[in-house]
Amino acid sequence: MAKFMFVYREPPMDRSNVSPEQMQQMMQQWMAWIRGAMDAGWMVAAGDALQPEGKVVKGDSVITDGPFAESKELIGGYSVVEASDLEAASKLAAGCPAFEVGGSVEVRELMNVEIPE
Amino acid sequence: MSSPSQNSDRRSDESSDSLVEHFFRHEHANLVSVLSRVFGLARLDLIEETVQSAMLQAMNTWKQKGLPKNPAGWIHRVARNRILDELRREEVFRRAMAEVAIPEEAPEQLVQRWMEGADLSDSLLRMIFVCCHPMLDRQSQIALTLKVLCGFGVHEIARGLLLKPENLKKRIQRARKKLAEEAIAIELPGPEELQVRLSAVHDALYLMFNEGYSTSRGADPIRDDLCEEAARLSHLLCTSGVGNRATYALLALMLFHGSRLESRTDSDGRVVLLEDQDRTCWDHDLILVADQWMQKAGLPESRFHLEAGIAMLH
Repeated sequence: MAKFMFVYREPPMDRSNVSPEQMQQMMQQWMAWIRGAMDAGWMVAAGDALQPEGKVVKGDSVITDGPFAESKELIGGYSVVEASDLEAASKLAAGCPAFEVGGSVEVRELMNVEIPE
Repeated sequence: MSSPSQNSDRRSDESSDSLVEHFFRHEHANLVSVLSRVFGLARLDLIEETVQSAMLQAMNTWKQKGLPKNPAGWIHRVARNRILDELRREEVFRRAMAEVAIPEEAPEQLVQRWMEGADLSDSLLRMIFVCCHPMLDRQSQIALTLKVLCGFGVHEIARGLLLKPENLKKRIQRARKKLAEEAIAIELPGPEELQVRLSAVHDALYLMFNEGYSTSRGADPIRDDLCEEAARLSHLLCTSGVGNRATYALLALMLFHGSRLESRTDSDGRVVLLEDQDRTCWDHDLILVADQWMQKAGLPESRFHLEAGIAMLH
């Protein structure tokens, strides 16, 4: 089995207008999905959500402040899953709540650090 | 529609799987009411912003990590710390806090104490009288009540009241400004004023309920929420000792109608007349509760008694 990272990408949320009821709905969808995946066993780490604010540091010590409104999607969080190959891992992303808000899931295999025989 | 019982949604021993219905919405309302009571109505804008960002933080933290042991306490702490951080930057605030009525208690403790039990109910009651202040017009009273005491978002309120969100936003903004300018105190009206003020609250809650109940205006789920919230706030008035017999009748009226919420429209959202409704779909537990309040309401003395009496006969 190989390990993969799910990188959740979502369009920036209108933070001042999202209502408490909507927040609760979104959160419960996520919790249900993550819990289902953990119970099924293929998700090995629920990971974390990320704060929308941040900085981008470049080599010439140029530091830019986020949130990065110019990008259509922000990284909202990540999890780690286990699957036989990339194809199978991608299929596991089905039903992710990120899709509900027009987001996407980037699926990337973790580099295998085992030394080949 | 479930029978409203204030505070029962603040159990901390909830299973970690899910939150009670409307947890975010009601905690939003609790926090805005308590923080306004501690830090003043003039800061309502800042308070609402702070609570909003605390809620966002809760959502983002919990959605992957799962719920903490005491979700309500978690949000209260975050909101309280955030507002204090904001306020410490205000030089005036430091001086203002020195003049607060209860100087021996730090604002941190005050927030914590007023977020619980009877103190929380008291904070909400005071806020009902602020939002339904006679200085505001009826529409603004309802809009502000839905925003502050029910935790609805602007778009949800606009949908419920069939208003444009921009117009509603302006209305709420004006109402907030007026409250601050007139330096309205967050307190219960004194005994000589109470009956008049209470009657204004009755009218606002009655209209709020009707906005939700009137079937000619669509079958958006938000409309049931308006009814439920009007009943929840009436219930709070009734159980707190502030309400009078007209309040009991008003609550009974809402519960009688509420017991038929499910059956008043068919599966396509069309209105079903009373005589054609499936009476087995009525919520009979709710009718029992309504009967009890009706008995407490006693002899007819208000228009709510009469209307509730008619609803009861059906």
